[in-house]
Amino acid sequence: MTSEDLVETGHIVLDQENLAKKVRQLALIVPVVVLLVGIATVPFEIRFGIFTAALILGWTQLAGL
Amino acid sequence: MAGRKKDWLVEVTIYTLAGLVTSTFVGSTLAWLGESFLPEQVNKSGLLVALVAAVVAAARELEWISFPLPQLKRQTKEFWGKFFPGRIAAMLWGFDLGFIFTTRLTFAGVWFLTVVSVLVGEPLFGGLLFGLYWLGRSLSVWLAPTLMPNAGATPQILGAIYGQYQLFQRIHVIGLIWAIINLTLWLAK
Repeated sequence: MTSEDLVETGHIVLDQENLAKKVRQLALIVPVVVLLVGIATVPFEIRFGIFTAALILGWTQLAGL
Repeated sequence: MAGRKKDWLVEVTIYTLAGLVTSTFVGSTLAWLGESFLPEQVNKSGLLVALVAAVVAAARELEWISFPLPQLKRQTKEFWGKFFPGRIAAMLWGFDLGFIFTTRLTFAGVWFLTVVSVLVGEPLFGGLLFGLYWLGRSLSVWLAPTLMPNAGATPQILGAIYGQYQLFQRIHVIGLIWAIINLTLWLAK
């Protein structure tokens, strides 16, 4: 393995780590926003809580694409 | 480049709308079945059954209990993308995945939504519930470009998503707990 190979491998590992971090952030941001919308709207209509839960349940289906 | 972006936007919009049509159809049909065949208004007893369904689904995803999900073990047809123009393929994928139960399910929550739709027995409610489930599901397609370092990175991204399976499973449980809280409030009203 040459030094160029090592640098290349290092870049790939770093890219994968960055991507995993981005996926984790995105995975969490969506339900947090939806939950906040749910918490804000439930006092007006209880069904909005179930609707926002449905959105979160649909979002997590992403893991099985 | 602008043309490719526009094509992508049109295809994702078609995919989302097609799935919205079939998923709201599924939700409202389930609710119509409940309205037609269940005795009168189910009310509190129905909400209690829905609450139990949510608890069972959450327990399954927390791996406290184990049972196979009733489901068809098929995925949508990848080859549509090769045989049809992009917009037609996007529409077919949307229609197909929007039917929800005709393709593989990842977690148990959708069965909870089914129970709620049937027991509440209001087609508008059922349609909205499944329509929002679909919008949550299709949101990933809209947000995928934010993860893309380049156009050929799809396999990397899918790998990174599969790598976070447990995180998505925990978020699914949070969704179910949120549903349990709301059903409890609904029951207490």
